[in-house]
Amino acid sequence: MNFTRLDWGIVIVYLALTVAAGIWVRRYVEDLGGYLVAGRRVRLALGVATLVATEIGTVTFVYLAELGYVAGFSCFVIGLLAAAAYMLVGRTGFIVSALRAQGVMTIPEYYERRYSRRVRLVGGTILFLGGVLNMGIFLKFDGIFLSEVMGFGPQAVALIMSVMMVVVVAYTVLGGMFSVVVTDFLQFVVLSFGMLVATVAALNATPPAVLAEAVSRHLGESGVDPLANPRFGWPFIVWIFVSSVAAAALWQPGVSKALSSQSPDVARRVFFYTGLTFAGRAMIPMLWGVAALAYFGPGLPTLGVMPRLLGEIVPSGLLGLLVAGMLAASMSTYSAYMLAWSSVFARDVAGCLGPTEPSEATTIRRTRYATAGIATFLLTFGLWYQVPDTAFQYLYISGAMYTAGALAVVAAGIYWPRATARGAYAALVCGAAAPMGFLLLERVREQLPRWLGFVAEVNVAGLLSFALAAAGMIVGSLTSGPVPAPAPVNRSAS
Amino acid sequence: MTTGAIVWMAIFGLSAACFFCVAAVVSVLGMRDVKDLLRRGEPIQGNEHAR
Repeated sequence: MNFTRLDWGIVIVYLALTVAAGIWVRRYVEDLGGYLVAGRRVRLALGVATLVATEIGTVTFVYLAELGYVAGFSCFVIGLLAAAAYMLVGRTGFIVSALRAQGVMTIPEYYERRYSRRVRLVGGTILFLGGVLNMGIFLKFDGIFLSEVMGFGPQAVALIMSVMMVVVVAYTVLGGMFSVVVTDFLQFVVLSFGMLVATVAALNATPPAVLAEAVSRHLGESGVDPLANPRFGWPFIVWIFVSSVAAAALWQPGVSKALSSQSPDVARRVFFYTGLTFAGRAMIPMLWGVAALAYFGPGLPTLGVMPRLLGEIVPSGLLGLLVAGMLAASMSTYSAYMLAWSSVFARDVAGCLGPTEPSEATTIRRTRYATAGIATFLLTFGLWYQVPDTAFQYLYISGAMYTAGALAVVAAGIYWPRATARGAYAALVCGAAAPMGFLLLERVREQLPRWLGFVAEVNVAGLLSFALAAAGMIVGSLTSGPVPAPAPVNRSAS
Repeated sequence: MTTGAIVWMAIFGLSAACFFCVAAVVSVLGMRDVKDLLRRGEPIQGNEHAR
């Protein structure tokens, strides 16, 4: 057992402070705008803190470190692509400034303004399903991490994760975005410190020359050249860049932070400064994975190897800070994701089924029920689902179910006057088809006819989803005939 | 160390420095933003038990 009383004390104090802050802040929620977008009063530094905290969870550390362990330095290219994508969105305001200027709270809300209520319902349903499926494996990864770092068995870890989930649900349900933003800030500070502790410990145990030697010995050229690595190559690089742009501009948990910001200009700058951190966000845990390769050698279970390393090299006391940092990372991600997906369910799925718009009180009540429902799903789904390929690719392919269609629908809606509702349906369905095909057919890869084998290749399926969505939008719109002028979109801020 | 490894370690160093510098600045300035967020949003009387 790696955990001492001092470590336990640090974790318990941290959890208690977070709960107290999250629940105290609920008194500031006055209406639906306060609950879902914190009254649109979030300024630049707080916006960056909350967005970075949302996009870093323990799951992020585990899947990125897994890549470092199996692919060496060559996976660092993902960090550069993600940083470039966020800075591009931040520099140009691509999509996010226009969405913020429209004053929407969720992305499917834009579908209704630009296309129709049915497009909103279809888009909202795909977004909700894709988002919750994407989130389904988070808890499993957190369990693996804590089990290895703390040295406990799976039952104790399941108990810790359940307690953490109850804590997160409590403050998210009660305080909505106000609680999420304020606790995100606290969590950002703690998780940054935890990352610093882990990085110093990893470099102390395995200096750069040792890392380089291990990569060269175990992985050869594929450890430093992403084009020579069979996991990556050009289709992967193009897919990840396009997917990162789409995720930056359209991933509801992140975009909800932009929609909470003070103005379209602040929204744009939040993305730019967040982009500055994104190369580090990816490469820091990847380096921990490379350090695990150098420390243990190849051949160990890939998901658990980085936490096992940290459990061995981080001294007591600092280990408590590290685990508090990891719990902080997870809690900020869970709270933001659950609020984002439950608000989509309440506003864009349940809210679109009735003949009239539900009241604010009804929407808040539905959001709270949906949050509790998602938490229950997370506690069960993660226990039995086996992740295909690497976790990184599962997360990107399940995310593509939504982002591929959404990129075509929203980008065309804003920048192409000829876009129509038929094009939007086609883009949403075509965008979801390739990732769904992969998730279903990957398990029967061996039985597939050769001509259909490409669907079970994760990089091809991912890239294909964006191409199909764009083609669906263009063909669907051009075959719709003349259309009335769309509602004006404020592009001045972009 | 190979050239590829040196290049990636240098990129890692820059990226990590960028991350921790932004984190330090945001941690300091974010405190002010949190205060501002809560100061401008007056507490709602009785909201502790509302909804």
